[in-house]
Amino acid sequence: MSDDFQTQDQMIEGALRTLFRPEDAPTALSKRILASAAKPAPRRRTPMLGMAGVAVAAAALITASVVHEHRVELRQEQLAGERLAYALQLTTQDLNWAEQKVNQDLAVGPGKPEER
Amino acid sequence: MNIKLKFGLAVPMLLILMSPLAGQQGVETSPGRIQLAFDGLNRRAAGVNEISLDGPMLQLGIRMLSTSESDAQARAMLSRLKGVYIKSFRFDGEGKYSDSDLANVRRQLHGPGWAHIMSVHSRPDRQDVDVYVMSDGKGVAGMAIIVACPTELRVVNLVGPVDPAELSRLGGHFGIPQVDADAGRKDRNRQ
Repeated sequence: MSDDFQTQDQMIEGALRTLFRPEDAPTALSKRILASAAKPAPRRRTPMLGMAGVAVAAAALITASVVHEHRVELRQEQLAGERLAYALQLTTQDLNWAEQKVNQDLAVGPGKPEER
Repeated sequence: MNIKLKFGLAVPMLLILMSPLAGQQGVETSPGRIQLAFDGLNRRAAGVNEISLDGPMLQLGIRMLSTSESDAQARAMLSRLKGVYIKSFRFDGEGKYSDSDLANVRRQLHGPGWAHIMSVHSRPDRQDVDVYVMSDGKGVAGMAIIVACPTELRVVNLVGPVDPAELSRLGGHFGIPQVDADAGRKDRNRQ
């Protein structure tokens, strides 16, 4: 039991020594005491900061997801446009080729040797 | 009462869930649509290119093509399209495909409503082009083009009221090169 008291005394003495040093000016002591008292404050703010952090992270995630979705949609639109342009190019090219051949054949006229 | 309520909720839910499928089926079973199925040709081809555009993606594609006023007429013509489907095979040598590979497609094109409107076989160019048009009584409902070269085979299927003449006039729009298909006819008129 006495050992416990002794340990507590030592701890208190150690803490006082940390706070109060005889060589310091009185203002230094008050500053140190205030600093020591202010220490637990961030711990009280931690849950609030944590919540705010989570909210900011969620907002950032939602924004990133919306931007990504918009980019994907835009890419899909571009791809659809490119594919359609390619499909139309092939189709018109084939149709024009066939039409040209028919017109050439008509230009040669009946009874003449067939070019195609 | 409870069963009635459940049933009353289930039917509209089922209808809502099935509505996109019904839209898709509309294009799938559209009169001008053919199935571009080629058994085993994918394995023999060196390259296969497939384009399948319908519904909202096709409308998006049309919007993405151009917003220029000069393309407005061409865009209006395209907006009537319901679907654009192309299957193209590239082979690394000659004789890698035969007419039998096209049998499935040709069988569909010999079905009711389809008419074979143009057939061009060019020996110098070693290219054959067959153009088919589908009519549904009200007008053109679709078009199909088969292009066969020694090392390339392509089938194009356009679904909707398409006018081949209008299509061939798309040259000069949307970056499609302009070709004077009437060159031969003009030469004849000059003579």
